[in-house]
Amino acid sequence: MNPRTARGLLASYLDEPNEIKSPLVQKAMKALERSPELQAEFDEQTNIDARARKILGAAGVPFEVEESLASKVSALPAGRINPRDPAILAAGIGFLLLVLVLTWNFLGRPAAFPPDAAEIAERVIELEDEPLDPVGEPSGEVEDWFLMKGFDGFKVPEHLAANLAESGGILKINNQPVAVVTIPQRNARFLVFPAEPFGIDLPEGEWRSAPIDELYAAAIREMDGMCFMILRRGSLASVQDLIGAAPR
Amino acid sequence: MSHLPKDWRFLRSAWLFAAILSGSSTKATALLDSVFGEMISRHDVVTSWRRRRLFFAKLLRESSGLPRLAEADFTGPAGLFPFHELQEPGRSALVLLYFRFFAPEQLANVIGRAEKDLPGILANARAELAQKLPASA
Repeated sequence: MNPRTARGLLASYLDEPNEIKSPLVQKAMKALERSPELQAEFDEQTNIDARARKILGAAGVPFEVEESLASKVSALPAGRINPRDPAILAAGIGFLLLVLVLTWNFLGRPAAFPPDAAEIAERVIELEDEPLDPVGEPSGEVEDWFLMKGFDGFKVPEHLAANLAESGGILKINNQPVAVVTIPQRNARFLVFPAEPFGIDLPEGEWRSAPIDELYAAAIREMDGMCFMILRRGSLASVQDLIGAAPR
Repeated sequence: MSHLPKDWRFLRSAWLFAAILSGSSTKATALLDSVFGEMISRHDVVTSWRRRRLFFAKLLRESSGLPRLAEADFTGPAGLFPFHELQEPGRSALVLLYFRFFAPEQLANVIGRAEKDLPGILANARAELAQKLPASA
């Protein structure tokens, strides 16, 4: 990466001393060292951001505004229903369809894949070309590798632990760390991330799976507040094969 | 004490954003009420991420015609006048960057610009802000 590219990338970066820097940011910062002028520019950026964020952080929202907002939100979603409102009519038809879908679910269709998890999968696919570090260990044995990089809790289901992790790293998705390893022999990636910051709440240990796009499918489960996701290049059936032998 | 649920806590930052854009606490509350009313009537916004993105984009759109106020007329929170003075789109880009809600490509989408233009927009905004921030900050 040349220093000018690095400088462009770091324009959208906010320095947080206690946060893990993504491999891309680390690479950019290293590239900047080759240009004292751009390094000085970036140092000035960091200085301005620190001053500005201190002021912004100290700005308060008036108490009465907060109370008003909380009151409005707590009033959701109950409201008056006008049956002649086309939106309500559409909602009524939608409700009937929902009943049909729930009946179908009860009859055995897999439960829904969390939309927020689907967004994470889409982002990881977009970041496919982001360089990762070599690992070369079974995926069940890289917890300490991630711990040294600042990510705690990288655990892989037992029946998948023997799969070799060729490379790994920590991606930043919506400012949250997502640990990822590549599993080339399965054409897959294993992802681990905390559930709560992404608003994901699944029954403990229960798998959900879904196609993500025409090329990828994913499966996810939550254990002790951490999500484990398999993102596989292949069909839904191919990812369900991987989780098929897992205890539920 | 406010009891905003987790998915709606961004409303605090949204109010600050509206105050920076409008220069007025009263106007900020009005803007927020307007966008909030519009958002809750939509049924196609499912995830909290999309809701947040749409909320800030709408705030920006609804405040686009508002004039810059002189410091004597500014009634937003203390200390935020330098932000109010900044030129768009840098003002919105920088403030939203500081709120840390959006990845760069999402931020560019909210302000209606190409992601490749973001570094230049942010650089100009920072340079402008640096001249306006008090030296003691």
